[in-house]
Order: sequence, then C-alpha cells, then structure tokens
Amino acid sequence: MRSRQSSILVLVALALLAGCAARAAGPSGAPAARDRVPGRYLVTAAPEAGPAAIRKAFRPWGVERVEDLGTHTWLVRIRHDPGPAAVAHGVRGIAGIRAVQPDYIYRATGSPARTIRTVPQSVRVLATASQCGGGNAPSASWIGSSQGLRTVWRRIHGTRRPPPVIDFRNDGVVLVSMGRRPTGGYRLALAGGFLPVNKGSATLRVNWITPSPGHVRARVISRPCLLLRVPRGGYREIRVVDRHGRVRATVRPH
Amino acid sequence: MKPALLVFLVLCLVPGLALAGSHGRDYVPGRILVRFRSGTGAAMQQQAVQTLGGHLGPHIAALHVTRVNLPAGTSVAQAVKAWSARPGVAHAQPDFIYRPLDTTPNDPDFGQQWGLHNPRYPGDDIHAPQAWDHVTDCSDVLVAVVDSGINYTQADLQGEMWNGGSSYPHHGYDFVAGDNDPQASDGAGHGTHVAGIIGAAGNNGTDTAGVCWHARIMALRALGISGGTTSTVAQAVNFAVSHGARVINMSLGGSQYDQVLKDAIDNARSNGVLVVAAAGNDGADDDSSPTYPCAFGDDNIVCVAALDQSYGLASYSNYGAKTVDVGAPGSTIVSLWPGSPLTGFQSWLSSSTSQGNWGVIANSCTSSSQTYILADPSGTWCAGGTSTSSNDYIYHDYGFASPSVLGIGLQYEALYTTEGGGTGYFNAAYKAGGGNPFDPINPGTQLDHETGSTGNTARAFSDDLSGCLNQSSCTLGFQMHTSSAAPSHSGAVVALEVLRSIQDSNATQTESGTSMATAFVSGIAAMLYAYNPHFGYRDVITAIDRGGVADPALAGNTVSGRAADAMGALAYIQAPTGIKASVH
Repeated sequence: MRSRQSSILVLVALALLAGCAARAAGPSGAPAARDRVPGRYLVTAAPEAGPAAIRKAFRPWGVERVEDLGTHTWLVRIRHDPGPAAVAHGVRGIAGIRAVQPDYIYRATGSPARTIRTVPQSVRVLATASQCGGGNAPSASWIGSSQGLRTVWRRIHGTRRPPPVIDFRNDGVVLVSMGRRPTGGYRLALAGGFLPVNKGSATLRVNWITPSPGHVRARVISRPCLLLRVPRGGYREIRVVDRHGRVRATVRPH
Repeated sequence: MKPALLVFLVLCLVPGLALAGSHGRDYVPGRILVRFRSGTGAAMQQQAVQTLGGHLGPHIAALHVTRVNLPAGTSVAQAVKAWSARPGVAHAQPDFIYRPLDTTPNDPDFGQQWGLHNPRYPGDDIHAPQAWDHVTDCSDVLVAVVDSGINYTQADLQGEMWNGGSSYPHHGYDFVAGDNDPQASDGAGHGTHVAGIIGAAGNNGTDTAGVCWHARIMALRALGISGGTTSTVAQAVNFAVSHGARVINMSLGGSQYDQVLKDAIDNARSNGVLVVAAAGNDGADDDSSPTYPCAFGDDNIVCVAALDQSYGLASYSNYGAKTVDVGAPGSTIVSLWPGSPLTGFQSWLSSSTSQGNWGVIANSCTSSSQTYILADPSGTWCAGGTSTSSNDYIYHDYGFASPSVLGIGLQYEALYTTEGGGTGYFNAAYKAGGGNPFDPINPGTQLDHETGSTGNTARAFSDDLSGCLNQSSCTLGFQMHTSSAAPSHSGAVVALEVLRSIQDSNATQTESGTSMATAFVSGIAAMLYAYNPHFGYRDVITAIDRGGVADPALAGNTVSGRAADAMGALAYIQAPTGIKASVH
C-alpha cells in the first residue's frame, strides 16, 4: 500500500512539474502527437547562447542536429524523444535556454477534411437512356416510392420491362437528367460507385460526357439521364458532381 | 464651424462622396476645353492666349471645342473662370475624366468566379467590378503568401511576382527544402490557388482575374504537401517582414498555442505588417477550440471564415464571436493551379504485379462499371467478402523526363485491413529510375507504411514525389502483405491523382476552404494599401471590418458580423493613423 502511495506521489509530482513547463506546452496543454513533429524542438535562447550550449542541454536525448533559425531561435533534432513535458523539464534552469516547445504542425486550410464512407454496393445504375423527357436544364430528382419509380421507368423504358425491385426503407432512387441537348452523343455515366458523405452532404460523381468534336452526330434533340439506386441515411442532400468538381445538381431525399 | 470643414466632414461621412473626393482630380490637370462663338477668328483666339497664357491645342471639330493647354501654375478652376469671361468664348470647362463603371475583365473564367461577381445570388460577392472602377493595380503592395509554394511560371502569375533580385531569383524562398526556389516541387496546388485569388493577372484574356489585376506576390514555401511546422512557418513570416511585405497571407492553421510563431506575428505587428489568417475547416467554434495563428489575439491579424455561394456560413468553416473577424467567399472557388494532374487508373491497366493477385478492375465493390480500383481482382473483399490472394504488389511506370515538369506529388485514398501480429501491412512506394519499388534487394523510397484498418472509410494520403523529377522512368506502387490464412485482410486504392506543377501552366481548379476566403481578404487589403498608401494595418482592418456587408449568417459567429467587401472597404474612409494634421 505504501509503495502504491509513493507511486501516486511520484506521478503527482511529475504532473506538477509538467505543469511548471506550461510555457513550453502552451495554454492548451500537452499537444496531441499528431500536432507536433516527434524528435524536433524549438529553443528560444539567450543572445549569447550558441549551438554548443544547446547541444549540451539536449545531450541526454541524443542530439542529431542543431539549426539556427535566426532571432535566437534554434531547431534541435533529437534521437530519443521523451515527450514535450520531459524535455521542458529537462532543460529548465539551464543557462542560456529561455524557452522550449515542440515543432508544431500546420496544415493548409484549403481542403476541408473529407470523410469518405464507402458502403459496399452503395450506388447501382438502374438505367441509362438518351430520351428521358423532363426540362431543359440539368437536374436531379429523388424518387422515394415504388409508384414514383414506376412512373419514371415507363418514361424511359415504356412498359417493355418491369421496374427493378427497390427496398425503399433502406434505399432511394435518384434520377439525374442532363437537360435538353442539341444532338445525340451526349450521355451520363456513374463515375464512382461510392457515396462519400461529408457533414451531411453526399457526393454522387457522374461524368458529363459530350460528343467528340468532329464526330458525326444524330441531328436529334436528346435528353440523357441516369437512374441510380442510392442508400438512404447519413446525409441531408446529394450533390451531383462532375469530374471537374462542378456541382451540376442537388437533390434532397424525402 | 467653417463651411469648408463642414463640407470636409460631410465628405468623410458619406462613403460614396468621400471615395470620389479622396481620389483627387476628376479632370485632366493643365488643360481645359473651350468652345468659341461662331465667327470668332484665329486672331481673337490668339489674343486670348497672349492675355491668359498657355497655348492652343488641337481643335476637335466634331465637338466644336478647342483644347487649351494652360501655363504652369494656373489651376484649371482659375483658367475656366478667366476663359469664360473672354469675348468670343461661348463656354469653357475642365477636360473631365470618365471611368468605366462596374469594370469587368475579359478573363475566360471570370464568369465562374462568383466571389468576385455573383450572378446567381446578386450582391453575395465582394463587389469587385465596382471596386475595379477605382483600383486594379496593387503592384506597389508586397503580399507574402506563406503556403505550399507557388508555380510562379503559371501563365496568370508570371508577371505578378516579387522581384527578389539576384539573391531570390525565384520570387521567394523555400523553407521546407531550405533553398531559394519556392516552386511547388511536390505538385501541391494550394499556394498557387491562393496566390491566384489575390493577384492573378486580370483582363489579360487568360484563366481568371485576381482581386488585384496586378500584384506583387512573394512566394514563401512553408508547407509541404502534407503540411508544415512551426520552424518553416515562423521563418517564412520573419522573412516576409524583413523583406518589406505589407500583407502576409496565412491560409493555414494549427491547433496548438505556439510561442515561436506568436513571436514572429508580434514582430510583424511591430513592423506594421498585416497578417490575414484562416479560421480553419473543422466546422468548430474557434473561441473554444482555437486555431492558430488566428487565435493569437494580435491586433494585426484578420481572421477569416468562409462563405458559400448564397453567403451562408460554409458548413466546414470555423467561426467565433470573439476570434473570427469577418467572412469572405470560400466555397467552390475557381483559381489557378500549378498543372493538370494525372488521374485515375486507366494507365495502370498494363501494370506489373508479381503474382497477378492485384489488378485494375471494374469496381465490383459497387457494381459500377466505370470506377476502377486496385484490389484483389476477385473484388469480393471490398464488397464485404473475403480474399485469399492479397499478398502482392502492383506498380506502374510514370515518366517525368520532360523539363517542363517542375513538381510532382501524389494524392490517393485507400481502404485496407491488415493482418495483426506484425504480419500484415499496406505500403506505398516509388522508385526513381524505374523497376520494382518493393524489390527486397534494391527497394525504392517508401511513402506510406500502414497497419490496422480503415473500416469502410477511405483514408486520404498525400506524398512528395519530387524525387521523380527529371526521371524518364519512375515507378509508383502499392503493396498488401498478408498471409493466405487471413482472408479478411486486404486493401484497395479507390482514388488516385498524380499532381504536377508544369512550366507555363494555364490550369485552373475549384477548391473550397477558409484558405480561399483568407486570400480574398488579403487581396482586398492589398487594394486598400494601393489606394491609400499612407494607411497603417489598423486602418486596413477597420476598413475591412466596417466596410463589410452585414450578413445574418455571420452575426454572432464573427466579431464584425460582416462579409468582407472590396467596394465597401474602399469607400469606408477614415483619417489614416500615424499622420498628424491640423485645420487652419
């Protein structure tokens, strides 16, 4: 019991010492491992302190390299990293060392973190056609019932084939329409069978295919479309995105 | 109160009037236009010139006016009064200056740049065309872009870069590699995109228009393709300050309080340098979960949230009633890109595997016939089934011998579940010079080595492939190592892009983030400095904050509750700080 109490006391003392090194850890406390580069520390030194003094201070952890960054700041690389709190404690009070901190990681804020969830068999092509009717502009519409699917299916296939069986409790159907096109040769194709969801918005990748220049094309107005089965849930809207990342249409399930 | 002072105050209080007044003359100095009465002969005209000074310029027959060039020291107002009183003169007036209204550039992608001018939701933009009636050239203002490097050969940036002289011939510095070439050598496009928003050459019939049509951009590479560190970022800030930057764009963030970077920002403040920083993309409250440098609290920092196309707060944007200053366009922003990437797996169809166990297949995970992935060719594993043949690798040879390739990087997304007990792993590697990157005797360079499981959520990876530069053969490969007794362990690469920076690229790209919003504000700041060279950073921040457009989405989510607005900021006039004036 006494041994356990001693251990607790040692732990508390270490925690307090780590707290003393708050200047190193910063107001938000000990950094997560992913927020710093292991084995790299930045030292703010007194003007008179040179690399020898810094090497000496970090010697216990095996100094690989000391680099002068200017403005009395030095980058130190060590072989055996005991963690920021232990380093701060270890160099505390050493002449010439004013502060030490990890070499923190910064990331560009141009690409919001994506959460790509892949669901096996998530998106399935039910039908593609070049004459689907509908409006002149690109659009996407949600079909949430067998009755709705029957109506659209007849518009695409007539009554030759029965519509596929869809479990509308777990899945829905999305009709992506290209809108009115002046000739044949236009079509839509599913570009990714996954349905990545990011903060409530699902992305459905569809290639917007146009006729190659110079090719002979049927001089007929076309209205291409793509009928897709998609899983329900986990998103508020589906954005139909082409291969250039352009949002062509948006649909909300209901 | 003296009438003149009253008029001055009224001008100051009415932004539109103040803008016109502050811009100085609205007529050409040193000359006026005179219409002589019919029958007024040349002798009488010459007599007037001899009396009043100056000399007659060309007669514009279509307008029945003659241009009169004034003698030195004569004001236009004096001359108009004197000439109007001369016999034989029907009318005299200044030669007024007319400027185009709502200037729009001829750049082909301008129509997609909703942040500058938003035809879909009119007014939800920074009102750039109105601002361009007054300022398009910010090249007197040095803007440092602390970022992932810039393809300074990009067609729309070539003429807009800082001249660093013989010490910095490539327009900046690379603190990641430690040399003076901040080219995006790992193909990362973020810095080029940000620079394009600030200062892509405008009205030149190429690509996009920047907030400033002419700029002076210093490229400071502090981020590699997967990020940077305190040491690279703080050095870049200090470099910018010591080489004369007035604006530092920091489209980046970290989650830890960082005294070394704080010291660098303080140094910028001491030198009067404005720092524009991104609020972050976590959809979080910066007041309680701070992002740095935004949250340092220095008064020379403007912290920027991102807005979508209808001026709602973007779903990913951080916010903060105490820490985030303004919003700006951030979602689906079209700007410059260092080069077109190589995408997809079509070119991998004839790739090498050791046992034929990996392959490029139609995506049977999802029953789609268009998507190709790299996986166990049976495709059953990623559909929730098992695999008995995942102990293999696949690699593909990309050649990058062309000198026009200036940077190469890799972004891919992978699913994997590896075998435990130290047996299984997922690897990515490349080999400059070609050959099997997983050759046990002569291996290539390892990029990623992963164990564990991604579950059904693909994990994104970014890697530097600059080691492939100038290599006529460079192989890129993926490897799964499992034992045959582990059928539930396998992997798939579900998306792949080889990023490239290309000489004289004219590529563009759509990106989203608070980074993009930050760049819009940096551009506006450069405009303000160009228009008001005597402004200090406090004047610029005040103009941006108070000249912004009130946006309900930002009320309570930012300090100002406003969206940054170029025209509003230009029109928001206050006496510059640091200048003493007296009224006599």
